[in-house]
Amino acid sequence: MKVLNIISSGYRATLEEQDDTVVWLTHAIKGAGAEVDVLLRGPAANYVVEGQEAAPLTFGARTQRHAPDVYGQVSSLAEKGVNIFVVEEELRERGLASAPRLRAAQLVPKAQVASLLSKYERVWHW
Amino acid sequence: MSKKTLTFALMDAPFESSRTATAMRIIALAVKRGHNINVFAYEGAVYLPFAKQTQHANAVHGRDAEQEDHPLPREWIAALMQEAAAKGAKFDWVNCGLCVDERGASEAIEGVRRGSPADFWTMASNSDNTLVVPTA
Amino acid sequence: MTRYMIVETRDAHEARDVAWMADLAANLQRNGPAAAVMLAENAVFAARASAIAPTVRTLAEAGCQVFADRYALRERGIRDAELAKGVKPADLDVVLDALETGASVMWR
Repeated sequence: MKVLNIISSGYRATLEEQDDTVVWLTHAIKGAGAEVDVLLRGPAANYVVEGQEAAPLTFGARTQRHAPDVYGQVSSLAEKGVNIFVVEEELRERGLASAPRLRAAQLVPKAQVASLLSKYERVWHW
Repeated sequence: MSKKTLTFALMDAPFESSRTATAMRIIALAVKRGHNINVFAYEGAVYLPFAKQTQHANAVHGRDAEQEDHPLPREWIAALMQEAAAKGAKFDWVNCGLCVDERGASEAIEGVRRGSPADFWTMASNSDNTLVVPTA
Repeated sequence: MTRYMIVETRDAHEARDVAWMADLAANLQRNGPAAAVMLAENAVFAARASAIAPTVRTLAEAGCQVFADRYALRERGIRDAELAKGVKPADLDVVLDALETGASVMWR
């Protein structure tokens, strides 16, 4: 079963969770044998942009050990063979058309998203 | 329509979003139609079957707890499990274990089991269809 | 047979992204297999004929079926007579129907 995970919400609870939980879930189901690809849009489109640095949070004497690394999370998905698609306009609208980004990221114009969806048996929008 | 197996992924904690009620309405319809149901509760949704949800009075309305009869999602879930069983259908609710741990939500109603995204994948792979209800 | 259904729950005036989803549904419809939209929760505000919201027009022009959750309409005091042309009040059964027939149902 070929699945496309569309991830729209970006940076949602990533500091508390130390991960993007949907990217994390994608890793987990890939490990369980899923044939899954990812389409990033909305704020999540920024996940492929280089140079992101979330600093560990400190509250009182308690300092976080592992700050989230969403770029790293997406990059390692690509290394596992997951296709990482990003809606082109989402980057452009955010002024990121020429920003250094993950080499494996495949840009998809908005007008071609429908055609991309047709290649999958299941499309899950997170 | 023949009996189907449908999987639902939920993410919202109770009492926070109208998505919970809408999703539960669809699940209830599916139970009514006699389908086998899988639910994978991710993130805040692991609190939906939390056993310690308790009703309370409502002083603004001048109602005591019994009169207020506040909805509790754990009761909705238990009732749907019962209805499914009465129809000879399966109702499998899996709470994502790591989400349970970080939220301290381990006390769930009977019939809820602990699992992981691998269970979600197994459920989805063995279902006729899957609906993901994301959080905002 | 509906191949795609989008359950849209957000108010089009509050979330700019609703327009994106309407465009996606329209493109899915134009590409071939039918696409339908169920407006639920606050998304039903766009179902009023008097609403200043291009969502419904975008979908209708593309030929998408557009449903509005009866419960959500009543909850918000929207009568059937107020609905925009092309919007059908419906129960959530239509979402279940889509799931039963194997449509990809996406929730926003």
